[in-house]
Amino acid sequence: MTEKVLETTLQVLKEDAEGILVDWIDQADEDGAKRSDLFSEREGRDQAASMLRAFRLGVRDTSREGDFDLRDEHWADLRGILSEITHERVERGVLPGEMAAFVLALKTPLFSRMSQKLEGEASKLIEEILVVSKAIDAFAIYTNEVFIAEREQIIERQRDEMLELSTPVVELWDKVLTLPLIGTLDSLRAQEVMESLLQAIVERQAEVVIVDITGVKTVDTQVAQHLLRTAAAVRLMGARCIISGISPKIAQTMVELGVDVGEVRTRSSIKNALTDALTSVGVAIRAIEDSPRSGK
Amino acid sequence: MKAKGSRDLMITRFVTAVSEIARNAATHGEGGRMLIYDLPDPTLIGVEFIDEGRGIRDVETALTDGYSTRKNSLGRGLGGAKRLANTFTIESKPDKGTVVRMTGICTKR
Repeated sequence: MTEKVLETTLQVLKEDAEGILVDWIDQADEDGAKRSDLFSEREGRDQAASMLRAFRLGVRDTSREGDFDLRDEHWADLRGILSEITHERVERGVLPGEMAAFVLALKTPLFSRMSQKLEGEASKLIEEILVVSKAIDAFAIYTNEVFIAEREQIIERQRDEMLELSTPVVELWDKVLTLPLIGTLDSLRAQEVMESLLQAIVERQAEVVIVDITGVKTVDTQVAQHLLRTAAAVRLMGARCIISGISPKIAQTMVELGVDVGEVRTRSSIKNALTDALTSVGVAIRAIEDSPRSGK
Repeated sequence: MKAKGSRDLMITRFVTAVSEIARNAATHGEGGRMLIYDLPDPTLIGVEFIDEGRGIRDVETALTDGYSTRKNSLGRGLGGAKRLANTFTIESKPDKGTVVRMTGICTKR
């Protein structure tokens, strides 16, 4: 009995593949899974057709073996097609619910044909519907899993991008660079900061580097350690490092921690640090003498 | 602490102390639990760190500035946290774990 569990399903799929396809797409439209704004009717039809084909092959092999398991070898085709279609639709902005509704809509045309075939054999009909239903549910869940995996990849990529963006080295003047730090400085970020800073020193032939920590919330011993090491590396490159934006409360906390900044230059504000840096490269910012706003 | 009207300086100090101890628990103590207490005295806040790591053999030495089991470390975290917190107690048994309790002051003065 078990070997023939999907017999009718297979028969129905063979006999009226075209009809099922049309009804399926109609049903999906009715269930609100149609997004003609995001992909054309023809595309949707082609995708549905290839899914149906893979589904039939899967059903054929399953009906030989009996047991249903989406991870089985003979569902590999369908899995591939599902993830391909899901991937395509995610990129176009289809919602996961819509994708699942689209897959689930296959039940209606399939079941109505099966019940015609098995009229008067209620128990066999229920048995088959149970198995097919389970299979289609599994596909719907599978599309959701693909969706989540896609999203996670996007998040991962954005995190990487953010890590790079969060260490912007800006050229303020010839040979003067600044690096505004914001947020928390963990070991990973500290490494990024150091690398991009040292690279920039070489590229721009910088002589002074201002590391601004106005946006850094807490400076504990580890953060201080990272800052001091960065400063030491900058010095080894022949440039000077000024750490600016040390607030009174951070200054007091650092003293209490016993952090010794040694020879590293520190300034309370980026303004002071900039004046300092410009002086050391031989430039100054002055008021324009005949400007109406200069007060004379 | 902010809700209780604590001064910014006190917040910075206490947050830094908490950060030090939390990182110690993570790097030396193989992670652990952190509990935050609302104490009967409304001007205080309590934090407790419990880890089951390898513990500290000689707490006195560990509290000394400049002492560290690691090469790339300033060795000031533990002592610094003690100075930054209002009260600070540490209990440690080798190979059993470490418990650190600290309080911070939440008054406006």
